[in-house]
Amino acid sequence: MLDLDPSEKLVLKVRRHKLVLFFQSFFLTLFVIVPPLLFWVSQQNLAIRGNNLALFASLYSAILLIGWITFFIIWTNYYLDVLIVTDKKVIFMEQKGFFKREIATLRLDRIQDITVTVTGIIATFLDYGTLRIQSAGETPEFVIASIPKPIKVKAIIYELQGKILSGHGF
Amino acid sequence: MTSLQYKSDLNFNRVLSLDSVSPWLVIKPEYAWLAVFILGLFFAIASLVLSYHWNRFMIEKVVLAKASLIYFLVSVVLIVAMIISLTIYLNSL
Repeated sequence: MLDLDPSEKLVLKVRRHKLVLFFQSFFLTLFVIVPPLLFWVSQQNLAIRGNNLALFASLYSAILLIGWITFFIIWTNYYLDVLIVTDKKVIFMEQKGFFKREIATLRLDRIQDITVTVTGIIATFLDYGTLRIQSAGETPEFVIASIPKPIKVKAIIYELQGKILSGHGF
Repeated sequence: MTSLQYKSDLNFNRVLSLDSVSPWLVIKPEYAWLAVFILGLFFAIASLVLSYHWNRFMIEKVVLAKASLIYFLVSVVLIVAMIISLTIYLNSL
């Protein structure tokens, strides 16, 4: 759950690029492709008593169910990683497996530097990269990998920070 | 002119064929239903954990509702298909 002050306004909500989800769940295509191939091979080499098509349908449904559950586990893990920018702070929530969740918060006026790294052809063309936010003090830097349009996110954070600092008379 | 020829009695095609290993693969009904029960248990636990995370940590309620609907709908279809086809198979034995 997201707890914001009543006066606080949510400005931006960013998740990792959808390509991350695609790469993480790509192996699940094997769950769809391999069983029919195995069935085709087994029909030529194995003599199975009874209605073998019904047996295949049953096994295939079971395999697809396992794949479906696995996909939703991956998707949930992907979806619960989120960067939230409000007009007062930056919050990064990261789900690390099912039973570990990290929530890091950084006030906008504490931000010292934001670095964007875009590496590789795919990342350049699809416009996603890593955002590093350094803060004043001993707080470790925020590292948010594979977020879409990182330059735009950086600009928005700087803009909000500028408003806060000008409001404080800096 | 004589040539040495060795003729093996071992037919590799026959060994590679699974026909020689299991000519009639039989699945016992009790084992089949046990496998369905274990899968059902796995589904129940996974669904419980997923639902907990969706309800507790999801920010967008609309996405949560859509995800739950699609997840449970497809899962139920697959479970029903699995049970029906298994019943058909076991009745055909």
